[in-house]
Amino acid sequence: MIRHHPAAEILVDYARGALDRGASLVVACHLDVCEICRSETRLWEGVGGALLEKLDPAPLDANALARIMTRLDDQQPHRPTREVGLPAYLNRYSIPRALKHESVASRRWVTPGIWFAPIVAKEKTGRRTYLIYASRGTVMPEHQHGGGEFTFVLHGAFSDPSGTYGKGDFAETDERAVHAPAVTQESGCLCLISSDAPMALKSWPARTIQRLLGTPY
Amino acid sequence: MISREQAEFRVSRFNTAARPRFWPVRDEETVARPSAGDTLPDWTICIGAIARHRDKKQFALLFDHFAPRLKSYFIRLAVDNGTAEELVQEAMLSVWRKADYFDPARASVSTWIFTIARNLRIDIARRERDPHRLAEAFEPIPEPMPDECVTTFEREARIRTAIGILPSEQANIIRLHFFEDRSHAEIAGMLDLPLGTVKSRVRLAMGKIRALVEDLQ
Repeated sequence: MIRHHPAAEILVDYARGALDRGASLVVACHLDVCEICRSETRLWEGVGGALLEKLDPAPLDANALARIMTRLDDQQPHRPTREVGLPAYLNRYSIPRALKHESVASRRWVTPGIWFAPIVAKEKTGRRTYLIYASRGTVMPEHQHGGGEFTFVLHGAFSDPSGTYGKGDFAETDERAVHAPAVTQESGCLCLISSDAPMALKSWPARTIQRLLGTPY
Repeated sequence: MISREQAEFRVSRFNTAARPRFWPVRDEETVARPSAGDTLPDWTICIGAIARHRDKKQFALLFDHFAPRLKSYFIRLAVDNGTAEELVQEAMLSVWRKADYFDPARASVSTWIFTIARNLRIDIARRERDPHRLAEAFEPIPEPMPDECVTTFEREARIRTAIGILPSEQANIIRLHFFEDRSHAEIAGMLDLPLGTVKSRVRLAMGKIRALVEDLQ
């Protein structure tokens, strides 16, 4: 059962295209499993459609129509799901459709119980998007985020002072929060995270590992 | 804009249990034509003709209507004229390729085209950095649930009504917020209003739209 949803403003920002790609991807994963938020998003996309109708037309280049008409015959029919083939280590999880278009890099183990796999190459905004897995009972090193962070839980559950987040849940962390999320005891936890800035680790051993690995998370 | 008769026809069609999944087969003479009066063609029928017959005349009609609005949309996002022209071509080529997948039970044509343009927008930043990766547009495609399909047409009609009856200053703020990528603070500066006023007007306008749509459900 889904208990944590994106805030209303996040859905509006998603619908109007104001989130960058990684953040949109995390929201889209939640929409894939949450009918309530999907319906809310359709509402704001409908507003976008209605406003598009009302925009003052901008003059096109004189040859715009002619140019597109000559390109029509070259178009390949659209394939609905251009699935790129996710790495085998993800086979055991149910992966939201939104993620199946993305290429996932190979995973990097940080400790015996934690790995990262980058999804979207670092964006101009500095945003990083990655899968992170931590085995049951893992407590992540205490850290703070330079900016906002969106999380979608694909498998398992974790808790931090703001609550417990399970499969299908969406979590937003702002730049002020310092947290040390802990994976629950039942199973390992797989999350999709998109974050504005690298995490700022609070303890020096964790920082040393971060520096040695060169992982920008 | 479609006539009241067409609207009623479509509402009743979507309310029947045996609602067609995609395209009802229609006679050639029902294919949209520009009419002599001020009513525009029914874009749903127009897309249907493109999907079934690869109808270039219908595509040209659709292009004449939507391409200048899409250009206006992209220009508002502060891209230059040449990029805007190219994005319009790409958006409309997507419409041509994906016409088969347009589902009138999910969204109106203008909302569907808006989401295509919106997904291109999400990729603008990335293509600036890496112009050869055009093929990987962001495209999450969550499927509608059967019960949310029923009221799509009514919902979109309500959205249009709601936007139509908003006081002009609220409609203006919604447009700025949705299409010009302005933060609340920027809008406040442009309109010479206190930030709190802008925020409350956005909230009011969105609340009004939501209330009108929820009234339906």
